[in-house]
Amino acid sequence: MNTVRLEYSGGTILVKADGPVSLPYVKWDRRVGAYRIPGYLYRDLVRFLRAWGIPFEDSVFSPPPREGVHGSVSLYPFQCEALDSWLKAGCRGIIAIAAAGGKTFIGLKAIELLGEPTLILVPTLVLMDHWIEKVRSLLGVEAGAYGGSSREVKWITVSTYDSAYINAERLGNKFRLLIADEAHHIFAPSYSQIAEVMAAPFRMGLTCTPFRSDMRHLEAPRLIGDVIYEATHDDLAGKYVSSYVHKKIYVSLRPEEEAEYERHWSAYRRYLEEMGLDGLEGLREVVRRSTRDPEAREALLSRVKALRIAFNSEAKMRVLSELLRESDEKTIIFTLHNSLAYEISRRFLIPAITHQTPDEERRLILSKFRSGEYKVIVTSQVLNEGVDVPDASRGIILSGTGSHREYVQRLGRLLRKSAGDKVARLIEVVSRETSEVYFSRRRRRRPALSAPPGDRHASEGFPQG
Amino acid sequence: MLPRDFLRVRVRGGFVRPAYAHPDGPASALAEEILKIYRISVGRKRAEIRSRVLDLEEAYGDYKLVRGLAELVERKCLFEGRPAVNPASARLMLFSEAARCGIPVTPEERVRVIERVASMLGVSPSSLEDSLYADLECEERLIQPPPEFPGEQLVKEYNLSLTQTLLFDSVNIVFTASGNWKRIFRSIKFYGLIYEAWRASTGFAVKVDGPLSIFRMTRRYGTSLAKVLPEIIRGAPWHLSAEVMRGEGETLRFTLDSESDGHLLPESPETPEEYDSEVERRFAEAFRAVAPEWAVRREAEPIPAGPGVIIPDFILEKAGRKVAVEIVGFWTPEYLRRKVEKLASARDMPIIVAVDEKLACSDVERVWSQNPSLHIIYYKGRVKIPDVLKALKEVVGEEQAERRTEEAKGRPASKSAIKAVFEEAAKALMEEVGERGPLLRAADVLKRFNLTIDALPQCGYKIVWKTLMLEDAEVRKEIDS
Repeated sequence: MNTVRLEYSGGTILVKADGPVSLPYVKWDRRVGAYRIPGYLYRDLVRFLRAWGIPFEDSVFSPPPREGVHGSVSLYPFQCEALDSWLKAGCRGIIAIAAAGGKTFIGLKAIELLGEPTLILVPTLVLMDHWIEKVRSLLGVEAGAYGGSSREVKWITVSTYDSAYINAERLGNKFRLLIADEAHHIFAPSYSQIAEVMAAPFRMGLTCTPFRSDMRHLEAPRLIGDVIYEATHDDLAGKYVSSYVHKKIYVSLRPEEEAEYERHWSAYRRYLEEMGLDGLEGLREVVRRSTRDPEAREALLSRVKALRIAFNSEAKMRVLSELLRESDEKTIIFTLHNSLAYEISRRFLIPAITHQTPDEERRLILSKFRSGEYKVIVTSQVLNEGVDVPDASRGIILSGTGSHREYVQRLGRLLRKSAGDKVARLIEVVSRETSEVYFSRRRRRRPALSAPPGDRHASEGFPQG
Repeated sequence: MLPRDFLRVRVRGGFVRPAYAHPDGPASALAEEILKIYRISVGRKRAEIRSRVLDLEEAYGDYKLVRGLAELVERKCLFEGRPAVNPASARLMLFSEAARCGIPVTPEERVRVIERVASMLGVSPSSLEDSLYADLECEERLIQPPPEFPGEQLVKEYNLSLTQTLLFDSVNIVFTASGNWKRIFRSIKFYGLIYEAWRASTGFAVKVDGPLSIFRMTRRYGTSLAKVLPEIIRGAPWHLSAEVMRGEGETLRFTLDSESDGHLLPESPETPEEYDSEVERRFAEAFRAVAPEWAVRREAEPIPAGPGVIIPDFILEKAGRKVAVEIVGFWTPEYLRRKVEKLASARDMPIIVAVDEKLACSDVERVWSQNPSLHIIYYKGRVKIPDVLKALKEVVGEEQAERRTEEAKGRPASKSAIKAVFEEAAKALMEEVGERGPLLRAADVLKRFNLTIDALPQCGYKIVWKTLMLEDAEVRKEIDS
């Protein structure tokens, strides 16, 4: 019989044969004179070939040099249950567990059991460091770092979604197990291409919020597998994760800030009214128009200025002073903008972590925070997801975007089960009587999902708006 | 290439086009203004300079243009942080000290911490504060302004960048070019793209996209396609057409042409003739001296070969007759075998292959015997011109002889001979009738080749009937695809 040959080629698999073959999934590519399938269909094609006893030569994979994994990961019962359902589902699918449910451990156990070359996708560099550290301590292997300024490919490699997206074709045939941490990211139009060009037959998604407002999570069966295990915060609270208290502090703007805010906000409202626009739809329309219509752009700028006053109010800085004075417990301060993070850093002489912080320095700050040498750090959006910052018992949100996911995940960091019995506190500092109050409410409301910030390809350089 | 946010486009009737700035319009004055700001701002912080640039926005009313131009200027400048204290160690010391003695919440407490650390480092408190975040991009200072060049040039570079930014969202491009082929194909390959090539009425056409493109429309290759663009526009005259994705599923057409749009873009310096080896250079010089009636053109045009193309080292041309010359001077027997096989698959142009004697092996002989259309000559040290001329005579002679003998014997002509007749007829039609013209005139031309109007499709023409009258009918050159 006609032998079929499978070769990897730029995120796809070329299917070559000496004579005509009849196979599912494949498409004839006259540009190169061979059949082709996208990488993610590798598993299905191989299954078909095996099922029908069609002989084939497979030279798709060229994994990095093998390294021995010496695992000793032990799991809680619910984590075992989650891993079992994944194994039963044919080593594919999404495990949805509330923040601080130990998702990392489930992933590590899967690597230990399968012994396959593995690529782990993470949204941030901080999370990349976190995984590398866990792979080292629990699997006894030095993982490759593929993100930020480094490009190491090893038997186990941890990459940011961004770097993997840019180099997807290069990574596509090196790993047989793909673990997507904070897996809701993989459904973004750009990042889903990583899942499409990877040939990895085994895929695991880890997330606490598998659903997206843009409904792209419906792509899961094709890209990574369905949700095969779910445990909400309520399922786990008290048992595996600590509980927390949530507190809001309302502050009023100072009179001159109030006047500024009022001036800008009413300028924006005026434009909306003149144009007969309203609400979120109205805002979108203004954004659309702003590229052509100078007045729309002016209105948009007014809105930004008003919000900036509300978010970055001097009154909030005073509240922050009070909070820092009243307790020296381990605290993370969250801001929306880098500029506020740096302002707080200068004013209170505390370290800031933003996406501009050099890799080395970021690691140093976090290790000093872990050891307790630094008690307080300030960050803008960088620590938002799944980072293990042990026993931080207090979080202070100084401004937010009003996204549900962000809210859940910020909580997640504080909910780590700590050594002591101290209850974690989350403090939101909100301006009274501004639209930010509305945002803050929106943040708690469950279904109001928006695409996470990582999905956007933020451009550096000149500030927008 | 610019950040996507800076892209400005106009959409009309299924077509999209960047809002180009005209080099002879007010944009050049704006470009001069921006260049001036950077030139007089040596020593200032990046953020300061940017805020001065933003002042221009109001005057020119087009913030995307202002920022786009400024972005390009910044890339020509050198910025550097020159803090009194290394910023990273300034931060480490200050934050550690503050953590050690309690976070300062009053201005007085804060000053005390800064003074203490400054005296440890032996610097003034204010220079310590200045150093704290001096390594942030916005805090860097301009140390080298942009080089002297006209605003007009900046505007042209801006237009090129804008085009590339538009192509970020392209799903494929189709282009024709007139030179620089080796570099074009090299960059297509380098960026992991795939091409299809064919001869079109306007020249040699190439469609470029990527491996996944046969499955669905994807922007995946947009950035790579954008990177190939500068190579294409080095080979003027050129023409380019791209499908650009808008939202999910919908596409717009973007076209660009050297003749109508070339003035918007930077002039590309003519690429000097590059030779891969000394053997090639000496061949070109010697051949030009000995046989001036033949034009020697280096990497002049690709030839379709198998599913891809080959770009022969030289094309020799005399009176519309083209013969390719490929010089093979290195590599392994395996490489040579594949090379000759690929050359043998070349369609529509005879090839003379000059092979270094040291590499002669049975493989070559075998391929040669199977592909008599290949003309292989051997050389030692340098390619001997008389050998080439002899091979040329064979190539040209063979074809004519073939045709004559077949006509004389009244036998059915071979395929290649028939093809040659059609080609000659097509050429005559082009010269005498043009892209379109009266059917009757075309029929006259064909009569000279003993052909009837039934042969029009083979000559690349179709008939357009306007009425039922023969006199009113036209022929039209078909656009190859």
